[in-house]
Amino acid sequence: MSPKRIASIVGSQRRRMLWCLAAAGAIWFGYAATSLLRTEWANHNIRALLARRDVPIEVHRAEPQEILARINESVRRDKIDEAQAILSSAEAGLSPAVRAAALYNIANARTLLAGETVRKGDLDTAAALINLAKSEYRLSLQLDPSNWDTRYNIDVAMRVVRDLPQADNPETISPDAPKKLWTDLPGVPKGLP
Amino acid sequence: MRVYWAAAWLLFFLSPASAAIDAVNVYEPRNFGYFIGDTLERDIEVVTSGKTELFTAALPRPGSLTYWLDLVSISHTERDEGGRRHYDLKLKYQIFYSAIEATELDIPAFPLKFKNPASVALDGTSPNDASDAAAKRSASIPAFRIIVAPLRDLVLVDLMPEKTKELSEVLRPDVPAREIPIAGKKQQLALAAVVLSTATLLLLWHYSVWPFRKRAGRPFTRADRQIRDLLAHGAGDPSYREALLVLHRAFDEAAGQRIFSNDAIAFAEAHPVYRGFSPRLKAFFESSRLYFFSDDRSAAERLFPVEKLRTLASDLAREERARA
Repeated sequence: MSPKRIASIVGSQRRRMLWCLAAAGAIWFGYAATSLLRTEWANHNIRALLARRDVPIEVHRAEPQEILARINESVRRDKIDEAQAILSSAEAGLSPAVRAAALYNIANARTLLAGETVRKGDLDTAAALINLAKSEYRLSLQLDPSNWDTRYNIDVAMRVVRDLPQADNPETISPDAPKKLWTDLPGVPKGLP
Repeated sequence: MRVYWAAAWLLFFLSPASAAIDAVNVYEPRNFGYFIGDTLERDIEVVTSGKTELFTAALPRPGSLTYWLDLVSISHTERDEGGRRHYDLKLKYQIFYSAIEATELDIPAFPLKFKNPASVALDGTSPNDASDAAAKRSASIPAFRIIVAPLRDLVLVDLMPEKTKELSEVLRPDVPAREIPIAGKKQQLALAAVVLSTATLLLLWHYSVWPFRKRAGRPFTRADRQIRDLLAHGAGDPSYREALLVLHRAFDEAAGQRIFSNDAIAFAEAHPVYRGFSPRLKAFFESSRLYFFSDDRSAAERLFPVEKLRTLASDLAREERARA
């Protein structure tokens, strides 16, 4: 195709091409403007949350970092359940790194809480909290295996409450398990006096 | 008796079992220097021949294997090579063992399942070496012993009631949220604005509106616009006259000289874009002559009504835009 021919085609289709260019430009401009505005709004929220103000966010439309900021603020205010709920409802749209970070922060809060509980002497609650924290750290490590802080903290969490491996040697079944079945039943013969 | 054994051996070596598990090759990574959270990959190649196939649906599923070990992923690919079937398995594990000192741990073995693992050879002889036969009927991925090292100097004293350190001082800090960078988005917006305004300017230029209203070489476009303005005020006799004059001036400007009725055909010949307009140009000039040079103005309007005049002007303007 000679340059002349191309020029003639361009000349004859100029009106259409110009309209197409204008439409594409308008769509692009609209997209870029919306995206910028949304990011600005998200940053506004993030700044407010970093300044420790309890700003609500729309979880389903929020940016990942905005959600992370919101979770951190909830955790800071000792509302771990709220943070957990935000994370679960936003999880689908988050990148693995952000999910890992959110899980890590929640697990840290639980570990600290477990430490407090240990000091009060409530070891059962502490063990439950540590188990939750451990599974969260574990999930976080699965999502982001290279994070050394997570490794360090799961190691710390595992030492807060004494944790004995149960499933390590499956051949030694607990010997008093069958006996326990009968302890609550009345009228079990106890043998001759 | 000796002859019988010899025959059996001969048969065995001449026709080995037609279906068998030929090899399970395990390519292990290093077995030392692992920390909590580390991942390791084992590559396993299973070679089968004949009808024997690896039963891939029975491979272990990703998930927790023991309290300290996760199978992160398992993938397998198959290929045929020299009449044998090769299965390449890739197993990825993640360790969650918090070691107090360097500890040896075993990644558990697991059996592989096969379809038709012990087919009998075609001539009915089966391998007569029992251990050999067993090896050809079943296989497993062996256990793998690794050494896991502690991550930190474990000071249990830190967490005892008489501790000197708070737990919050021991833990690594939280991950803070950070602001989203917007420089890239701003650049994109600026670029989009440039494209949009360029396209808008080009469109304005194409239609010769506002900043390009006086664009040179567009006499018909201007004439078209003037005629439409004129007719918007009413289609009386004065506006018809005015419209005729406007279009005449446009022809003059387009040709670079005065154009009269006789020149109409020559003008169309000289400007190929307007060649298709020849009959209408002739009619226009004819009616214009009637209008200006005879008293029969109504005949001129009948011959070339004002509506036709307007469409002619707009058609000429369109051709002009298409050409330029």
